[in-house]
Amino acid sequence: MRDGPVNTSNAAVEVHLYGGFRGLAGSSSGVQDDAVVLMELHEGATVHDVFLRLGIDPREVSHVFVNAQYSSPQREVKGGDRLGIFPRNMAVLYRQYFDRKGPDDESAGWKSLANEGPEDEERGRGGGVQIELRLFASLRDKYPDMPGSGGQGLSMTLSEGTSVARLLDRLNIGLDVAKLVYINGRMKGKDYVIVDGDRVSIFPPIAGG
Amino acid sequence: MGKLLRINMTNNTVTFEELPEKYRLLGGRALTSSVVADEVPPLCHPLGPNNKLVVAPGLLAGSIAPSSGRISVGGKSPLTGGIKESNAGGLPGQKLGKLGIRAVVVEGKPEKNKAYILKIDAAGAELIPADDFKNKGMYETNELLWERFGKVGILGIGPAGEMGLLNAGISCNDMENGPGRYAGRGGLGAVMGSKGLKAIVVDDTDAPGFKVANKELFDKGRKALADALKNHAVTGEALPTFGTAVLINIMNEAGGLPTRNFREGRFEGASKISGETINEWSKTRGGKVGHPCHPGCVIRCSNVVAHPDGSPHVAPLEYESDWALGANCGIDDLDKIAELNRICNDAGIDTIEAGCTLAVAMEGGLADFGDGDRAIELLNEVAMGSPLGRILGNGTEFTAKAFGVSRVPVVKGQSMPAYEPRAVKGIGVTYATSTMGADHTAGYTIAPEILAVGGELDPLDAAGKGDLARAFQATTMFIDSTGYCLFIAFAILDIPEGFQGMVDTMNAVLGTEWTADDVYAQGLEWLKRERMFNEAAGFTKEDDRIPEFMLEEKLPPHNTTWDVSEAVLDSVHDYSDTGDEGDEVAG
Repeated sequence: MRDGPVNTSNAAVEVHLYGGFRGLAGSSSGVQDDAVVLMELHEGATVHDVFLRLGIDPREVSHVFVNAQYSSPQREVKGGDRLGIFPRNMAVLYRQYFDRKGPDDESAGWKSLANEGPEDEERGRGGGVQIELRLFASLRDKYPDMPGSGGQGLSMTLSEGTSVARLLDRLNIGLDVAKLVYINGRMKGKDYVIVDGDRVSIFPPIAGG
Repeated sequence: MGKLLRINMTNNTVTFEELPEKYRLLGGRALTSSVVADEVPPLCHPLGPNNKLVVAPGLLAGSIAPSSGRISVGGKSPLTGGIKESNAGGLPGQKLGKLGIRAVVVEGKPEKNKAYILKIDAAGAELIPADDFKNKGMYETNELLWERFGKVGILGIGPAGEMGLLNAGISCNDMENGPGRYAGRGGLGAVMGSKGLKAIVVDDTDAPGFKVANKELFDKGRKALADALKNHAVTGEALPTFGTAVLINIMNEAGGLPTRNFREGRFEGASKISGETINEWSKTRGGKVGHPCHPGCVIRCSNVVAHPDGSPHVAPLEYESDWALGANCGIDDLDKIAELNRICNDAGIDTIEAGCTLAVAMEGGLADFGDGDRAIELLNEVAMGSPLGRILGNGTEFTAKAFGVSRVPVVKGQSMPAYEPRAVKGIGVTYATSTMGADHTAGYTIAPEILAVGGELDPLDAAGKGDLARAFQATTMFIDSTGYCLFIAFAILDIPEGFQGMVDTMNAVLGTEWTADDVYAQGLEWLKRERMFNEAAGFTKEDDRIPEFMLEEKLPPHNTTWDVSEAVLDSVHDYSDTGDEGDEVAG
């Protein structure tokens, strides 16, 4: 049930931007107008390429729709598609309740996290908390390049007051996927506020015997 | 209604009987334990003529219900001195079910040094002299039996069982005829050995097949259960991908992975022996994950671990074996752990007890913790029957006595599995109070305590753990009787439609009208029979205790001791009350 293309050739992709991303569509549009960018993409391009073209940091994206379907950044995009991109501060519960269409390999995103540090923009304020992060089972399998995969603890700095839920959000791990969160050997809820020196271990649903 | 096959080894007779009416609703563990309670004198010597070996497929084994092919073996345990049921997958359960044989009861004792194979098929059963099979390992035994009898189901014993060693288990063959599906715990292999029985082979060619009274209800139930198993993240995804060893890392993180003979709760080498590593090897070396232990299992948690050159080394390598022969011995080399497991499978001993035995031997100075090569040498002594091998083959408690070790992680003579009671209190209550000795499968409270399955409870908190352990023990008793794999619990504890599906399949076969509530009630009823046998065999509530060192030594990293009160332990099997327990926690 997508709208028809606004005013362009079939080869263009129509990108609707929301919230803080609206400015990327130019300064002329008022808040009541759609903020739309039309762009042509190479064959095999993905949502992630759209981010790159618009200068959008993937970490600042909450959710993306491709032709009205909640989609992963790895989903392919082609001429005539309509995209909707929502920023983090407009996050809603889509990721908890709907399956994302498209591949879910987020490893590109993890690499950038590892290189830049997850909270580098907040580090300058001082008072950060040092943690050791570990990811297990399918989290490791799914994100092989992600920091903390493979049980080798990754040292990270978080800003003061970061909750487990916020960390998971930063890592782009769904709250439902991170079924088991152990902090220093104790299971904790997603509202737990991480403190300096915590050993944070994240597991998907698992069991055995 | 099905048959009971009685084998008398004193006079070599084989008799088919109609299954008595009182056993009509029983299968698996409920049936083995009922026959043992009815027919075995509680004070008999476990290896004497008056003990009996009882084999019973689960009620649905042989049907097309998902993951329903489990088999129970029972008797009086030479290891614990109490009643024993040991449960396994593999081929024989389903084949017995298809033949309409509800139980095989082996009794009496032959003249010394005779060995037999019991052959069961659609035409009947016979005892075949098998002196040429004596002292053979289980890998060779299975190979020879398939050569001779075709692709039969096999229950067999290795040299350990023939020698009557307390840690001898009974092997069930898997779909590739490997011997790795063990009814391992409690020394029932020695009981089988004492009867002169090297193997039971089951050929279901021309079998009448599994009978279902109410097919419509059965189909509805099995489909609901299959959906639950496929849709639950644990049974549908984690177990087929990583196997049970996926637990290594989480138990390590939770500080409850017993390490170096239960000295610590974390092992620095955990990730090297984890399910993640086994999964990775399956891609880089060969081997396999998502391997079913019997036809029709939809969970497929079994695996095949390969040598570096890609050739199969051992199948399966389970969490318990991986931990016992790995972390608990301080060994972080998965190839060596696989070899230790293979040796256990061939000699015919239980891996949990073997790993705990090796750790106690290390504590006693026979090897350094972490020395995998020496551990392999030691374990190879068992099948050789050397004096040292016989000591080790008799298990943890026996070895501790032989070498003057006082840190002995056993209850009722049976070694603890891979969860530290000081870090996970509910499972400790199960260890202490189970009719089986220390046994995680008797009441797997790990599900809510560590894995957030079927609820969420604080593992370090003792409160409420008596009721918890009782509820799990009763429900487990029921599942152990159905033929369903206990792992269906992970899905059905979270998905009520799946739970109802399990109950529906049972009702469809038995003509009962059980509800979910009856699962607990029936389970508790059957559990009482086991408990009464143990009381008559001389057990008291003082046997329902955790070893002394755990009350005194603090376990890192949580630095906790065992602090569940004796009143809570005593409440678990106090059937006179309605379930209220003393929740007080000792000092």
